[in-house]
Amino acid sequence: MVFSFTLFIAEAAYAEDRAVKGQGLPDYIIKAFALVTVSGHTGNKVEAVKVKTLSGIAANYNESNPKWSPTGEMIAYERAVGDNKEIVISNINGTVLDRLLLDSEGKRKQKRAEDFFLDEMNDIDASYNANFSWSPDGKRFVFMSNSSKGDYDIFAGGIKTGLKQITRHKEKDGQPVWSPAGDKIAFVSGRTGKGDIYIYDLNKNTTAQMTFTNKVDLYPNWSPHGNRIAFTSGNDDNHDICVINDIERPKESLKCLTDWFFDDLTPVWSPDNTKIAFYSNYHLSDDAGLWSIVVINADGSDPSKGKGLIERIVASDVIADVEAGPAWSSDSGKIFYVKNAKDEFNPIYAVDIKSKMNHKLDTGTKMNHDIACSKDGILSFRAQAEQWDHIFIALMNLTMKN
Amino acid sequence: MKADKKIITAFIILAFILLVLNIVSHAAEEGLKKAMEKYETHRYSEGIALLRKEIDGRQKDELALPYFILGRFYLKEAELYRTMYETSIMTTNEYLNKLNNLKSVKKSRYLPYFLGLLYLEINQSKKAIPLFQQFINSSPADKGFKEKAKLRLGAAYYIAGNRKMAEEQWAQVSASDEEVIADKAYIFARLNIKLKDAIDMVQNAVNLSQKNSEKNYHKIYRETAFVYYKNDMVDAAIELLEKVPLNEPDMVDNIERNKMLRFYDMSVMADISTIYYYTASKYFNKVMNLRGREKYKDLIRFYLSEISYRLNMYDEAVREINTFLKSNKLDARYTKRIRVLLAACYYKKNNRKQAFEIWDEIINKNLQDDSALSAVMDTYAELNIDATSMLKLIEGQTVSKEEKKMKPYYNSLGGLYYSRKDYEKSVQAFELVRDKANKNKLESNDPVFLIRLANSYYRLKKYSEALEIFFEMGKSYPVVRQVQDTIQGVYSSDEKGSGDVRIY
Repeated sequence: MVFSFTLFIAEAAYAEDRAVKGQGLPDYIIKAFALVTVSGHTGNKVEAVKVKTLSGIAANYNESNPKWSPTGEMIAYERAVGDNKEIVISNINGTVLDRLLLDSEGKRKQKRAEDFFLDEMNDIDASYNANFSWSPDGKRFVFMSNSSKGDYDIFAGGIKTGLKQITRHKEKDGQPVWSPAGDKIAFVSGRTGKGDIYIYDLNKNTTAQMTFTNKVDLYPNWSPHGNRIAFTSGNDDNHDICVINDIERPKESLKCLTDWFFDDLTPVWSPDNTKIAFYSNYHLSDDAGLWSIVVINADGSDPSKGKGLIERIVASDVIADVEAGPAWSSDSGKIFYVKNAKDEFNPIYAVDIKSKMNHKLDTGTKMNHDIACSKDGILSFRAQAEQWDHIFIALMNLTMKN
Repeated sequence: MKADKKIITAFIILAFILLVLNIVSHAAEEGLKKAMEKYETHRYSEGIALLRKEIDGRQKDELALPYFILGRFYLKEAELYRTMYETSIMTTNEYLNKLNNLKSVKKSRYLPYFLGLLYLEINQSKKAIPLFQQFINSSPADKGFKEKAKLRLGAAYYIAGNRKMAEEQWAQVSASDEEVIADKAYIFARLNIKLKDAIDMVQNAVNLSQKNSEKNYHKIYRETAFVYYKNDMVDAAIELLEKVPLNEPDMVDNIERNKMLRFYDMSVMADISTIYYYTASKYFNKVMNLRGREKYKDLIRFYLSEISYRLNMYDEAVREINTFLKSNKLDARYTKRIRVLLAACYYKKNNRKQAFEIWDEIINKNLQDDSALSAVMDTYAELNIDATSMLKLIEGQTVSKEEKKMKPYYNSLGGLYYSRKDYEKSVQAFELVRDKANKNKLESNDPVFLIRLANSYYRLKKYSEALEIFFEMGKSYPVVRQVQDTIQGVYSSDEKGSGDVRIY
């Protein structure tokens, strides 16, 4: 079926011109993908229409963990250069807006050539900055940094504005996540001697402990409505998915949604607030190194173990990118993931949650990881190009349906 | 009102001037920052190219920093070529001797010539003499090589102290061919014998080679570059070197169908290293003659001491070190490191007692100072000094620093184990230094370190691990091709399998 407007792709990139559908696209997407006129026809399956690198292919560094801003106009990602890891914030066309590489005073590092070359025996710790999370309005952000000192804390700030250190503890604080209501930041801290979830209240400048288990609690993820937190809880190779249903009563409202001897990691709430997806190393072959994606009801109504939980598996043989988690489409109908298929260079797949139909997306990229989906349905991910990992973005026909 | 307008106009002009100055200064800093990125990612030749452009547009009083950085880049390149040279000597030695010891196999006619070259390089001129004689008497098809062999036979006699025989050999050389003309000027330059028409000779050879496409122009260019350097024309030397494809063999001998041998002259790496050391010192000395030198001068003396040592000018190095020690305002780590170098100079000058007094004092007083210990370990490894007692002292020490900060220490420890032929431990220490995610990439690993690691794998006969590293390095440093070929040759011999270079 030919649809009412056509889309012409200016330059062939990784994926070829394919089916597109819908009415109009935001300007920032048209510019980012250099779309000129429109030509095409619809398809029922989700497809990658055009794939490009965010900032070109360059040697010297590896990029990872892209995070879309809530507006879909910006991406923050990590870039490892030598021993340093910085966070780069760019708009969707690749223009860099800010870099977060903190010095020992918790400020953005200003590296001067003279200082560098006069310091023959550079003895300064590497600056490690990671775990970026946007505020709900996309104007501010929070992240973890070691401030070039080896002491990991949480910092908050805005693009090119001052930064505020919001935790100050000798034990490691990390994995901060800004709450949907904008007033709180959940994070993980090792201050009890193991990992626990905490909440920092931005209005009151107070910190409250949320988990009191004798297990390691990691990867907090806010429900889109902002009153619940899902996280991973466990020890060694056995973690489960748990939820704090009321952050005002964390102990009383804690409920674990899985309870079996498999490893369940990195829960991610669906945008419509109804489901939670996570990685599990349950696999038919009994191989603990193989991972699946499980989708369960967020209200705890699904079985927490056994056949009932196995039936909730929507994809098998997946690469578990535990820093990113499974990537929900913005309509909550699909999940994007990386298939563990070395002979095909680990392609990107999409699975329809209702039908459990899985299919491969032809992105033309290799060794994919860290998928994230914007509110417009644009995919971002890391893939290997010329032996280095770079961030790619993919325009999907799904984008046009929104 | 008019006065107000004038003030406003003056203010606007001043603001404009400040803005322009700020933009200019920002652009200048950006250029140096790009060079810094090249340095951090070990892309030294690219950094040098960037800095040369930077220098073009600068006033004299803005040159101190870019000259200083250029010195640092050339120093790194010099160290890298020196390390590659040492590796090439090692692998070529093993490869050529394996070829020579093969029984019942047709040998290359050029083998004695290249074995002779090897022995000349490793100061075993007496071993080189019969090999060159054998080659000359074998009447090789390539007459130019026969003349080159006579030149080198003369050089071997000269180094062995028999000047009369040297001159007799040189008198027999027929220097009508441009390759032989350049070769003669080169051999004399290497022996520090002044030829008054050396420059004319090599320039003539270069001109002739440009007209004759059959000639081995890369060899002529390489040799000419060294003659230029010896005659204080180092810029011309570097310009010429940049035109040379450094991965070309000196001789490809098809000894039988499907049996091809590639022979290389490893001296090119030593020559480039020497030229780069000299160039680094040239830029450092330029800074010392400029305004604003004050903040660089201690570091420059530190580097100049190292360069003098590398160029075998031990008295000069001792003088530089003593000047440094008198005036140094840098922190104690520099003092300790330079005293280790001072001891190495004494050692080279056969004053071993004084050398060990310094080293022993540094080791015993700095058991917790990984930087000082690294300097001693590097020196012991290089000079092949028995480090048994030192290792006893340091192996029991607890390392308190973060692993990342200990990388230079483990690098030195790996080098020390290597010098003791304990290659398993050497690899273990080196692997702690290696970037886990980008194992062979120059951007993530110091290339000198990568070569040392590859050498350890080579010694353990883990050829594929070594070749992987050299393959990656060859993309940036084509001269490494000769190391790849010789390792491949040794590998083929050991495994009795096929390879690029088959020796059966």
